[in-house]
Amino acid sequence: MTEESGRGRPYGYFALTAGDAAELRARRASGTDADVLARARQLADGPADRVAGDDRAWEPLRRCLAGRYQLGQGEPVFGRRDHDLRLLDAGQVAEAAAALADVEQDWLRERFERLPRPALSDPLVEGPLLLRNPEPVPGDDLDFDATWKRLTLLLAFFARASMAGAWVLYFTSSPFWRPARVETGPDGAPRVIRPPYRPEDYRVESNSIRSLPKNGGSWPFDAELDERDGALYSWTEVGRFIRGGRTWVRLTRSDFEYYIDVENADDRIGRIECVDPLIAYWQARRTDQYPVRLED
Amino acid sequence: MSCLGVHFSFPAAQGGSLWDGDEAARAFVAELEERWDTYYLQETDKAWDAIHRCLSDGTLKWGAGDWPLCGAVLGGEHMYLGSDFIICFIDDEEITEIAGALDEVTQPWFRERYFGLAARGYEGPVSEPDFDYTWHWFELMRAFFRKTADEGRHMVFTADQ
Repeated sequence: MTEESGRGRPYGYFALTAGDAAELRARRASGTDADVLARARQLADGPADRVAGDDRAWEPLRRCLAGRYQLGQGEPVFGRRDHDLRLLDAGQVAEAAAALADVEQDWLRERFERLPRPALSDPLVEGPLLLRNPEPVPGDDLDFDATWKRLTLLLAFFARASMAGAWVLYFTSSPFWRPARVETGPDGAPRVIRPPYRPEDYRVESNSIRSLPKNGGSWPFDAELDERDGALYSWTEVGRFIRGGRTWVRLTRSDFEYYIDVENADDRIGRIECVDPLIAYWQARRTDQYPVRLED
Repeated sequence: MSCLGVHFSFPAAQGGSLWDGDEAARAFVAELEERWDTYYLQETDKAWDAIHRCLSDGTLKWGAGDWPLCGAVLGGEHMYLGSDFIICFIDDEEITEIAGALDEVTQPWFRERYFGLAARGYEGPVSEPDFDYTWHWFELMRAFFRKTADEGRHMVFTADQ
């Protein structure tokens, strides 16, 4: 059993019996998605053989293998957008084992070297006015040895599953942002249904800050916020605070739950920082008008 | 003597061994430390000392100040009696109460408390940079309390002395 921990989306392959797989299919056919998810979590929490960890760490391998073996393929058994659950039957497991066994280190290294690195123009990796997002950005941790190690773990897992004639469940949460929603609870009162915290749901989208001024802007700070042509007009102020003896304004965009802090530097736009996703979660929770229930 | 503070959350069904004495409590925390699941922990570096003082009566005493704010760092039940380590347990209901109180803390209020610490025996450097440092870790800790309250988990605060 192999498992890594981290703050990316849970990601993994779990070995199943044919009976377990049939049960998931039956729940998919006759039950609700919540039933499927609950059973899949039970299976994932059990002693099943697995290769699991942080999806962000596995992303370079997925990209290297594209066109040769597609990670994350299989029969979908879950209909909601917030998770991706797929089944591979024993035949597909054997095919995966064979495909991965053929991958040579030199071939993988060549593919790996051709992976695009983060663009220097990415506002999340340039400075000094736009400071780095507190969370790693994709590509931060490109490491061939780690990628090769993950391939060997995956190959060993599929080889074991294939030898055992097992089915495999691919289980990951979706990359899509899942906004909170209001629904009526069993008691007839409104409540907010919010997905469990995932950092990526609260991380600043790099394109949203690409056009922000790096040279102080054109107008006085508050005019940049309030005037229709101001650089910050499309952002909404949620609070002000003092840091380093200067006033900073925390801003968000409508329909999103990420935040930036903008420094008022002598009445001009100064440094801009992406708010830590966990603090953004707290900030977003402050806007909930009804009791909150976390989605199953 | 690093004095680094960490809040760990764990499922409400776990943590029974915390009541089995110092050795068992340390073993439970050691397991959390070894796992180091960053999704379920929040560090406060050395700022936990000043944070607790700001949220309580300005001292480092356990139980001093008004509940629930005083429970965020050195609150709940002390599960370790030795002087070389701190383990404080807070259950899910207490976490919900504390999270609600932390939600209402404003920076001006916290700032006033912080700059009054020197008169209450705080030996750290009371300064603007240290305030920024303390507020930074406070914001993360507060968000972690909200997340943990939403998840219905228990928590321990730990620090080595």
